[in-house]
Amino acid sequence: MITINDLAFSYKKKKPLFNNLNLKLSEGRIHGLLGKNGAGKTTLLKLISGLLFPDDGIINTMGYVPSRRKPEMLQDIYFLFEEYTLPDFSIKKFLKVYSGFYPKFNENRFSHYLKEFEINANEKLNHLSYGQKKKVLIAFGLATNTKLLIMDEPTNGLDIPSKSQFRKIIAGEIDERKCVIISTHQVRDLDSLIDSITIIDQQNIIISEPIENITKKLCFKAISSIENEEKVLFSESGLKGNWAVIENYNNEDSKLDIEMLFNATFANKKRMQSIFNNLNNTL
Amino acid sequence: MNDIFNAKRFTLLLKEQSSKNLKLFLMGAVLIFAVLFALDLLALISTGLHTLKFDVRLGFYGVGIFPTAFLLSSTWFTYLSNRAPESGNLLLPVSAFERILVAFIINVIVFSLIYFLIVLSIEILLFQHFEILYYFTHFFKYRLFYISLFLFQSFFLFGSLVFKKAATIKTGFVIFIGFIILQLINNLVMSVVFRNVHNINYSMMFFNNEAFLITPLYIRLILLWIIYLGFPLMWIASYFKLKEKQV
Repeated sequence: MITINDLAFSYKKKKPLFNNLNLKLSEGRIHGLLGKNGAGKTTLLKLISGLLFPDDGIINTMGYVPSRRKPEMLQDIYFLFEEYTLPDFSIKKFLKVYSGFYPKFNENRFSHYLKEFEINANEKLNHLSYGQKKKVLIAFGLATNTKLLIMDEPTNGLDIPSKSQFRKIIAGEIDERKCVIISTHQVRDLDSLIDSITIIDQQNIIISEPIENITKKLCFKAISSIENEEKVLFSESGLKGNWAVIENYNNEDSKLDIEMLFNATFANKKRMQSIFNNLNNTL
Repeated sequence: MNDIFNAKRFTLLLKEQSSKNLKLFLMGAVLIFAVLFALDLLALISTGLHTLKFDVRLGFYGVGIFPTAFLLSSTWFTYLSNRAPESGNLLLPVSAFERILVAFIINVIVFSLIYFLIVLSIEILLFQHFEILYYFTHFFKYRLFYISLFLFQSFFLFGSLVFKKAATIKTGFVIFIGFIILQLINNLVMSVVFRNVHNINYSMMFFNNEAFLITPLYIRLILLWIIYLGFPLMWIASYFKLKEKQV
């Protein structure tokens, strides 16, 4: 679905944001894009969608060069921004004005999602709260039925019940031909939703793996004491003992803890890269 | 699928841009009407006459059209530069050509038509006079006025793509600096040509018939073509700038 080869990009000439970045994201998955503040998550999403152009390297999005912004490609991309302004329309008018741009738009699905989020379709957009507006845009984005759905911090501003609704809806939407990329700081919100993780830092990708590969190579579990320091990648003490991320030499089954993985990655970048042999990121 | 132009996409975009800006257009139209109406009325009262010379009214309308056109065009594409983008904006499935075409229709055609209707309604309401129709229907006769309006307007439209903030002021400033540079070059060239003449404002010399430069016809034709071509060329430049626009 998305292939990035040797991508270089910088906002300022002497301060490259990406250098020789390689990444492949396949369809049929929900990809979580994680990274520290300023790592370049939103920039990468913008490059994938064609809002920014690379300085060097090749980006292929669904067979198109995104920087050309061909309408045919754009009909299959929906980008939910973290920050946005909306026109002074009612939801119904918003639907009437914008749905026509997306040939596969499903109006019934839009109404269904609005109901799930408990939003009245007769409301005016500017009378809604930030979170409610976001729900309208999420509902709209899902109803566009585009192959590529990009969401930048989609759970920001959503209340707790809405976050679980969001997870439920997204999980139900994914099929073999679609690709969802979610960028977020709030890793807990993505628990049990995403099925592949990409962690980005200092010009490059540290990890880009499906969750099954991560849990094959790493084990997330409680340990009584840090017995073998070499095996432990990261540990955190809690009420019930130490929670640790360790190399999975014994092929143990464990549930991925995204936050622990994130911390382990930044505590042992090189080791993590060598564990996942992260030269060619292919998902 | 046609990547350059598609009638359905174009219609959708025209509808989107018009409905999104409808409130702004209506408020702008009311404001233009109020300002021009007030100007005419004040001039009428201050002169104490029962009518106002048509040339004076024409001056008001002529001067009024420039800032309003510049203001509209200089803000047209600035929403694409916002940090908090509107839902859709550059990723709306339309081509750059369709965007430029919609911008042209609204900024040039619809704007001129609305401005003219406002002026006509003032003329009818205050003076029961229809002569203004002549200036609209005889476009070719007054083409230099219209072309210079559209040329400056196209500069401001281009400015809305280049500058992220305060595009009106910045574009105006760039045009102003451009004029100063032209004036300096003009003076430099003239002082080279007329070496024994000093401290003379050469532009004024021409206006006062104090000096003439007899230029060959082809030079004059080239200058005229530059003026005429400047307007479409600026729109073409805006098209390419839009294609390269990054957010």
